[in-house]
Formats: sequence, C-alpha cells, structure tokens
Amino acid sequence: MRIRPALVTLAAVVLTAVGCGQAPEAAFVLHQKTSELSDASRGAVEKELLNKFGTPHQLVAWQKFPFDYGASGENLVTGRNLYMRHCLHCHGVSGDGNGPTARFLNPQPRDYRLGKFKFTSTKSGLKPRRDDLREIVKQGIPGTTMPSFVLLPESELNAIVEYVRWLSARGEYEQKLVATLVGEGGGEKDISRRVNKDGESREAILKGLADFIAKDFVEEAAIAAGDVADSWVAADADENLILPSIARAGLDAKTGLPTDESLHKGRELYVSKKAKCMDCHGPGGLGDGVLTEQFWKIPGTTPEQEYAEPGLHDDWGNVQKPRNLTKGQYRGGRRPVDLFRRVYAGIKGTQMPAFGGTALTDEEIWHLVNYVLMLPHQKTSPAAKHPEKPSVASTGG
Amino acid sequence: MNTNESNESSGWLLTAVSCGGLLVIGAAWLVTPAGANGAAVTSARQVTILADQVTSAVVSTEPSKPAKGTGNFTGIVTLGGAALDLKPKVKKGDLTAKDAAVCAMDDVPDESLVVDKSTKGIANVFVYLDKAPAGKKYDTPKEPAVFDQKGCRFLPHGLIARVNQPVLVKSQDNIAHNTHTNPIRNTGFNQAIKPVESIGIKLLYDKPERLPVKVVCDLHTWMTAYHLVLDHPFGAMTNAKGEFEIKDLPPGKYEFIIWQESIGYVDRKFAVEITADKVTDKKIAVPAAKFAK
Amino acid sequence: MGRFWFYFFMSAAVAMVVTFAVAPANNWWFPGAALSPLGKRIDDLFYLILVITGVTFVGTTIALGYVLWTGSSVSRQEQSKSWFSHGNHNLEVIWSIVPAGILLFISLYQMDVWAAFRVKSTFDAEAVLQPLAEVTARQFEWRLRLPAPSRKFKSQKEVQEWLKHPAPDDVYSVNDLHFPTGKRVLIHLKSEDVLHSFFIPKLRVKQDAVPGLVIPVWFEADKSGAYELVCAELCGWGHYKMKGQVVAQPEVEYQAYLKQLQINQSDDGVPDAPMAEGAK
Repeated sequence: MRIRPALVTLAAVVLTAVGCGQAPEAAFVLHQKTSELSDASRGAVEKELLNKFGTPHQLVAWQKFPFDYGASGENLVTGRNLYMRHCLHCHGVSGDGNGPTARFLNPQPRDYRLGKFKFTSTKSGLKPRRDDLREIVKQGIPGTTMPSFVLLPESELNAIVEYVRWLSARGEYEQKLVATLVGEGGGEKDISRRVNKDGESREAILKGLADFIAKDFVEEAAIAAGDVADSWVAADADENLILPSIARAGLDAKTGLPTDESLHKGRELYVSKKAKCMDCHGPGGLGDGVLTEQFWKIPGTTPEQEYAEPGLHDDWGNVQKPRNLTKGQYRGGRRPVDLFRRVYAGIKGTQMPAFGGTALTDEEIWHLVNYVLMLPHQKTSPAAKHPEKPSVASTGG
Repeated sequence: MNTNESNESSGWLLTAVSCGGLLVIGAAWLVTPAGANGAAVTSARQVTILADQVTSAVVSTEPSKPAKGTGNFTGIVTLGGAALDLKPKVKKGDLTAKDAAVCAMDDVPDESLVVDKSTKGIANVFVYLDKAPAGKKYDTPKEPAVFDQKGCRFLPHGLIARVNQPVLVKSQDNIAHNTHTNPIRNTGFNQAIKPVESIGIKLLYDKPERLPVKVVCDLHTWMTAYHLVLDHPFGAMTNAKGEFEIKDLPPGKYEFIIWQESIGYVDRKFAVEITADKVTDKKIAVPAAKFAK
Repeated sequence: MGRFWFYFFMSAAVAMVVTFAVAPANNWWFPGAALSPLGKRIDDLFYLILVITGVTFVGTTIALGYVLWTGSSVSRQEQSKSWFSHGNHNLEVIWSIVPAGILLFISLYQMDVWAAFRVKSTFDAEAVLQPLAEVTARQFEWRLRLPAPSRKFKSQKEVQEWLKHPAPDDVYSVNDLHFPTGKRVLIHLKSEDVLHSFFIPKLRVKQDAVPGLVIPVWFEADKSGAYELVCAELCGWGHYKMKGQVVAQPEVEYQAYLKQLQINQSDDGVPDAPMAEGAK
C-alpha cells in the first residue's frame, strides 16, 4: 500500500487550521435558584440582568455601582479580558466558582455571587476593600489552589479586582432579585406545592406574580441594587478598616519573638470560656474541635434541614475545616495584622465569629495571635505539650 | 460550549445535592398515612376559610382601645389537632451536653412549636405587614431592644426590632456564645459574646427584612431565635397563649404575613379590613399536619 | 522521477545546515547568551555536541546523496541484485565502535561541568552553609521561604533542621526570588504535589522538583537583572502560568530588599510601631 504524501500533507494542513474542537462560547449562566423560579419570574430576572449587566461580549457599566469603569468603560473591558485569561478556568465566566477545572479542586474556588469574601481587613460582616482583593490576587492563598499573580503589573491587578467586584455585584443582585421573587411566591416548587397541597389556583398565583412584576418589581430591584452598592461603598470607607489600637503586644525586644508570658496568656485565652477557640480548632490547634464532629443545620431552610456530612460548613455549603493552626499555613496572609483581623472581625461566610470589641480586647487578641503564630514552632506536638483535654471532649449538642 | 456544559452539569449536581434534603422531607410527607395527608389538604383550606368566616369583631377580654381614628387588629393563632411531643434539646443534668455546667442547668426546650395547653395557641408566630402603609414614615423607638442569653437559650426566642433600633445582645451565661445571623438585606452579624455580657453588644439592622432572620449560636448549635426587622410598628408576635395585638392601624384593607419558624408562611396574604375606632379580631387555626415532619 | 529524491533530500539537508549555522547568531530558539560562568560552560558543551552531530549529519547526508545519485542513473534494464550488507561483521563493528567512542569522549569531557552543577562536594561551601531559600513548587506557583536576614547557620545539621522545621522568624515570599549578583547561591527545591522543574533559561539552570525529595540547586548571575523562572515539566493544566522571576541585584540592594520583606511581614497594622524596629 502506498501512502500518498500529498493526501497526508493536506490532512495535516486542514487539521492545523481547523483545530480539534470549537472554542467555548462565553455566556453568563443563571444561578441555580434563578432557574428554579416560575417562567415569568425567571424571565424578569434574566431581563433585568441583561439590561443592567449585559453579556460577556457586551458588558454594561451600570453607574448605580461605585466601580471604576474607566471613562468609557475601558477598565471593565480590560478587567474582563484579564479575568478570561487568568481566572475563568476556576472561577467561571459568571464568577460562580464553577469554571471547567473547579470540579477537580478542593477547596472549591470562591463563588463571588454571595457577595462574601473570607479574608478582609474590614469590620465584621462587611465586604473586602479593594486592597484586600488585590492582596489575595497577588499573594495567592496557600493551602488552596489559588496561585499568586504577584508579577502582573499593578494596573492589570486593579482591573481584575474591579471586574471581580462587578461580577460579585451582578451575582449578588441576581440573588437579591430571586429572594424578592421567592418571597412573593415565585418559586416553581412553591407554586406547585400551593396548587397541589393547598388547593390554590395556579392562574391566581401567576396573576398575582405578574402584577407584582409589572408594578412593584422595579422598585424592589432598585432597592436591592442600592443595598449592594452601599455595601461596596461601606467596605472601602476608612472608618471600617480594622487598625489595632495598640502595637503588637508581648514581644521580646531582643529577639522580636513573643515572650513566654505572652504565649502563656495566649494559651489561656485559647482554652478559655470567653474565646472558646478549641471548640472548633481543637485543644492542640489541629482543627479537630468537638464542633467538627456533629451534623449542622443548613441556614435559611424552613423547616430546618441538615447537611449530609458532619462538620462545619461555610455559607457556600462546603465543608469548612477549622484551620489546623500547627501547619503554619495562613490563607488570608501571615502578617500579624492579618491574624489580628481574622480574630477581630471573624472570617466572613464562616462560623469564625468576630471577637474584636466584644469578647476580647486588642491586647488579648495580640496574645492570642502570638500564641497561634508560635503554635507551628513548638518542638513537640502542641497537644502533647498541653495535655489537658477539656471536659467537653465528648460530642454535645 | 465547554464552559457552559460544565456549568450546567455541575449545576445538575448542585441541584441533586441541595434538593436531596428537600426530597427526603418531601418523601417523608408522602409516606405519612393517607388520613394525615388528606387532613393536610382540607385543613390547609380551612386556614383561609376559617379566617374568612370568623370576621365577627369579637372583642377580646381585655381589649386595649385604639387611638382615635385608627383600629386595632387582634387575634389568636391556634393549632388544629394534637400538639407534637417535642423533646427538650438539652436535658437537665445531661453531662454529655456541650458546656454542660452551664447549658444543662435546666432543660433547653425545643421551641420550634410552642403550644399552650389550655388555649391550643401557638406562641412565637409573627403577624406583620411587609411594608408600611403607603407613604407613611414611622419614628424609630429610642429604647434599645434587649436580646439575652441564659442557660444556652436565647431570650426572647422571637424579637421584633425596628430599623435602626439597636438590639443589645447580652449574656448571663458564664461561657462565651456567638451570635450569628444571615439576613437577606442587612449585614450579617457574627460576634463572639463574652461570658456575662451585661452591657450588651449593639446589633443594628439598618434595613427592613421581609422574613424573620434566624439567629444561631455556632458554639451551641441548638440555640436558635428569630428577629423580625420592620420599618413600621405594625407587627406582633403571639404570646404564650397564642394571642397577638397590633395597635393603631390606619383604617383600610391590609394583607398580613403570618409566619411560623417550623413551617414558614402560615399565610402570605391574610386579608383584614380595619375600621376606625374598632378592634378587629381573628382566629387563625393551623392544622397539625402541617407540622408533621 | 529521475533524480527527484536526490534533490529532495539534499535540499532539506542544506536547509537544515544553513538554519543551524544561522540560528545561534540570531538567537532563534536559543535563550540568548548564558549569564553565568557555569551556563557558559554548559553552552560550550552544547556547541561541541552540535558540531559533532553536525559533522556526522553532513557526512551521512553526502553518503545518502551519493547513493541516490548513482542509483538513479542506473537504467531499468541494468537493474541487478543489490549489494546485501545485512550481517556484515566489519560494518557492525565500525558503527558500534565509532559512536561508542564519541559517546565516551563526550561523557568524559562533560564530567567537570556535571560535577560542578550536581555533585554536592564541589558546591561552594559558603552557599551550602547559608542557603538562600527553600523553594516549594506547587500547582501553579513557587512558594519561597527564606531564613531571617540575621540568621547565620553554624552547621549543615542546623540547615537540615531548618529544612524540616520552619523557624518563627523565617521570611516568606512567592514567585519572586532575589539574590546577590556575582555570588553563588543555593536553594533547596521541594514539590508539594507533582513533578515540576525549576528552570531559569538565562542562567542555564534546570532541575526537576520531586515530591518527597529536597534537592539542592545552586546558581549565580554575572549581571544584575530580572530573569524568567519557569516550570519545565508539564505539571497540570496551569503549567503555562507557573511563572516567576529571579532577580539578581547588588549585595546592598539585596540586603535592603530582604529587610523590607521582613518589615512587611512583621506588620502589625500600627504605623511606626516599635516592633518593626525590634524585628530587625
């Protein structure tokens, strides 16, 4: 059999030109909750999102939000282009943390649409500052699959941060619209239940919904957008930045390391009734506290439902292991001020509460930070060094 | 295409996971005896029917008089059927309970459905208007609301706060709590409360909420409470006997939300007409089948 | 057909020879001149091999051309049985011994360079005692851990201890490795997940990072500047973005950089904190 060189060459040329598959078409996808709405309600949400945010190809820079779009929106476009290149694989076109590689990752990439970000320098419950997001993009998150982008020029980092904020606002706006419509009874399951179980008429329900969408929805949507915009403004306000009132306490002037006295105080606080760190982080800081062993309720469910797996869950519904403090790995940064802020304001979207200004003084927080920073450096295992096992070791609750 | 596909398919997965819980409950509903099921349907109808029929302006035993030109709305929410036997969440003296020295000093009751033995009234049911009557603004009460914790239990279990009215979160327990909320509109609150917090940590809701906000303590996971945030005074929570009273409503037609924590909406739009200088009283019965798990 | 195959193969061979002669001068496919002494020696080896293979290639191509030329001039009628070389003992001895000799020569000739790069006893003693950093490769970045600027290791044992147990005053960085120009520095290479390869093309340093192993790698740069650090082992979908840089800078600047890194890391959020001083 003779191989025809011309044929082989032709095939090679054609394959090179055409490629092996089609380029993916970028599109914003609806949130799961949105797709569970009745047709008219879902249509209203879709229309609103399309009008106010556009598509990945045709972005809309809605001035309602305090974002730096650039004079003619060029910053948003730059941000999108960079996001598509660097972030989309994991975080997805819509910022839903569901890009093509997401299914292989643990922990899951952040879903921006809740409008919550864990590692911030702002007070409890607030969104991150621009600086916080930029720092995360620059430093990456050790212990997760988020890599560092420290070598990108500052202007590109800023554009990416701005686009992430925009995506987050888009997602949060969508969630709020859905919450409004679900509140009005626009959920498809809810309607079916009312029709099938309570014997209401579907037409009447749908008519009521249609009235709401025609009349009040616009106003409700404006309120929702205002809420989202306000929260982003608040995050960047200087009065909401956490600055310790005193410099890091309990340091040895010579070595620059915490004194034994400070570590002792930190340890006492760690196991104390008022901080109760070990309920989650465990007596030795291994992240194996009693609360990790029980089943937890899913927030926002009426009637209450439980997660399928035991252990703490974050607001995204993923199992959230309390940090193993002996590893020396700090996701939100390892500077003392980073740890101070974690304790002071808690970790947003998780059960880690804010201690600052309520349960602990700034000085106490510093002792705790000193203790936590030194935990990985104890010669023997911390659990061995502090053998006292608390009386609550058995699972309660 | 790839992106979309992956999103969709993981979406399916998500649905499967998140609906798993719902399905289980749905299935439980289906396998309850036919009688109970039927009762659920018929008596669910009765909620509205009953309400519509009992429009008689029954004056309760000690009616407070409405201010001039306005009307009061009173009533009772009752359980239609046998009350469920709910076990306490923490038994008194249970040493295996978390922080037993504080939390098992006394029974911590399951407050998901509190029924009065004599009146059959359901406590802690919220009856309120979603929005203030058109075009009206109401001043914020200056007095802060107090939200306390004692014996690893929130006191009160249900609280109505007004927008911008400070809620002081206190604790009488000699152990830390952490008060954690996840509101829809307001900023979430997740603060550690130190043992014996007598001054109170300020919790501020600056926006109204459509539904009561669930409050939990992550350190003691059985602890739950509900905060309803309104920008007007027309909301009430039923007392231990199941009675409620909403005062000084301008005359007119209203649609009240009636909400109970175990079942959610008892009624989305409970229609009531208020006439000036009168007290409108309603009896609302909730079929017991609704609470069947 | 006539002499088609002769012209075809010969023109291809000529094109290759020309390309190889021209490419280095124009930096095609080449990473440019090596910026370290060892790199220059590695380049010399590379060119030596290029010359040997080049000469061999030209020789075999001429032989091929000869056969094609003479073979095509034989008319079909004159076709006779070919000379059958298979199993020719002499030929086999020749084409075994000659390449083996060349290989032996190359392997002996490169030993010094290999030893300088890979054999630990030849490493610069100072660099070994005072490692620059621990570099941990992971998908998809380079995590760096540096001993505190004030830290002076006294023995190898202490270094090994430091590699096993991070010290509380260590300094951390990512994707951006600085070192003093003109000085031999040593890093310890680890991998957190899969195979990676620590590759600084300009300095001709390439070393696989293997999970479970700690591999010492030394390098130096004659000239200050920022050089690309890339991963040279396909390590996953994000391999292409696993890019960092190494920055060679004068000793004074390097020390200042290190101090600044340490000050940033001990930031306690209070401006002009005395601790920032104390940490020095």
